[in-house]
Amino acid sequence: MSQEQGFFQSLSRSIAQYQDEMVASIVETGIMLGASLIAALLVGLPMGTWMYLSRKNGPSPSGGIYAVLNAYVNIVRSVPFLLFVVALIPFTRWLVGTSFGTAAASVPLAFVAVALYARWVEQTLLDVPRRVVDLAHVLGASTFGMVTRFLYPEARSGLVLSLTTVTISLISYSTIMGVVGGGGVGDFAMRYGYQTYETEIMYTAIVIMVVAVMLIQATGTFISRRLDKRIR
Amino acid sequence: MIALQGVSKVYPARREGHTVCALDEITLSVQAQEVFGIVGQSGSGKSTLLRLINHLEAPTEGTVEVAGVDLAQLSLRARRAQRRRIGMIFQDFNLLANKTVFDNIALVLSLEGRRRRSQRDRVMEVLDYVNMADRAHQHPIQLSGGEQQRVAIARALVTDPAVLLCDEPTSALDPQHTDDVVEILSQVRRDLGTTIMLVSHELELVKTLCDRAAILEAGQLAGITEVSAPEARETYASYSERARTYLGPKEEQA
Repeated sequence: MSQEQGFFQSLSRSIAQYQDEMVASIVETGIMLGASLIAALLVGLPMGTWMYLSRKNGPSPSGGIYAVLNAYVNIVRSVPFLLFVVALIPFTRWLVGTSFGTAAASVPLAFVAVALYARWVEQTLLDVPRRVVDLAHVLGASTFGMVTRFLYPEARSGLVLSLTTVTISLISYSTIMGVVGGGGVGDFAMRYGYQTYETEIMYTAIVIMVVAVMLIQATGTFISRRLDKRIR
Repeated sequence: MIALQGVSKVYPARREGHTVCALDEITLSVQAQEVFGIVGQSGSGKSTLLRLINHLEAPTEGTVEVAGVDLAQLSLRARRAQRRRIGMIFQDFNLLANKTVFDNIALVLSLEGRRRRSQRDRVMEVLDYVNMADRAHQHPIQLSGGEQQRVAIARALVTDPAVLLCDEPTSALDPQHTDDVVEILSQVRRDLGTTIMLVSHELELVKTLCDRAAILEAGQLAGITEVSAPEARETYASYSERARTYLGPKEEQA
């Protein structure tokens, strides 16, 4: 029996053995990602928009609002994530009743998702030509109308691409959620792969993540291209 | 229709004490249905002057009245409504790239709160007026510059504005497309009696379209002049015909 055959046999044996755990871990990662992406859209998108509007030279400048939002984004992004998760435990316990499990793990992830996407939204809107804001004023749009009828439509492909980037970053962030019992593919790889010396399992988990990232990026790029009418 | 009284525009200093005076004590008035030109070199303040009319910029001093209304005195909400009575077209057309020609124009009606169903006829009517009805479902990138500017004119006209502001409307266009736009603007003044204020550095355009013109120099009004009617302009059916006539009458055998 060659070495190669031996590897694949033991790989398929390990996968068969841990199949249920693997599927469960993928579902857990999905739940954490889903929850934090919903937070990114519901909170991060308006927050980033507000930052764009309130920044100096923005359509409705307000130094105070900008400083507060900017501080949130910078603080959440700069605290090492593992410490952030731990530091947030009291809040998490208050919010979901426990500091342990997949739901609890989604809380710090959601905070990061909001901060990351808010910054991306701000940057993406800054790329919309200033004349679009002028046009919204000329046509008598309210600030809300300017955002929803002018800025978002013109920035939509960038908004999709940046959400894609945030999603991929979140996959990476989610891998350490084992520390609060969040589970997920990263935790699965550590527990069943690394810590029990089943290297194949660890590599399988890595391959799953790589494939997932490639699929997410391809989907994001595809949607963004379909939405972009600025190029022929 | 438009009255400026002692209007100055001063931009705040980047450094202490270095304010920039873009416009200095401008007083002028434009009659209803008049086509009024503003000429001047780059940096003379002519675009700033135009942007004061619909209050895209607020004057530092003086008052700007359009149809007897001073936009500076209105509430935010009333000002928005009033702005829609003032159409504007831009040098770079300024169509939304991700919306179709139809949606670019329907957008204006949506902002007025018109129902989707009642928008269609009005949008097609103005598109028809600028000969772009057959392109309603294309995106701006699929149109030439001249076609984009025609759509932009249709968008400005869809609310039946009393005043139309034109900021260098032909500066980004080649001569043939310039003629198209000139043709439509003359048509607008003839059919709709819209008061037009036109900023351009192209004297030929101002001579063709305007009744009077203000000359700006370094933010100051250097004079207002009656524009004498130009000699009958030759119009050409195509770019090649125009090129042939302009470059020289003698033609080699093809």
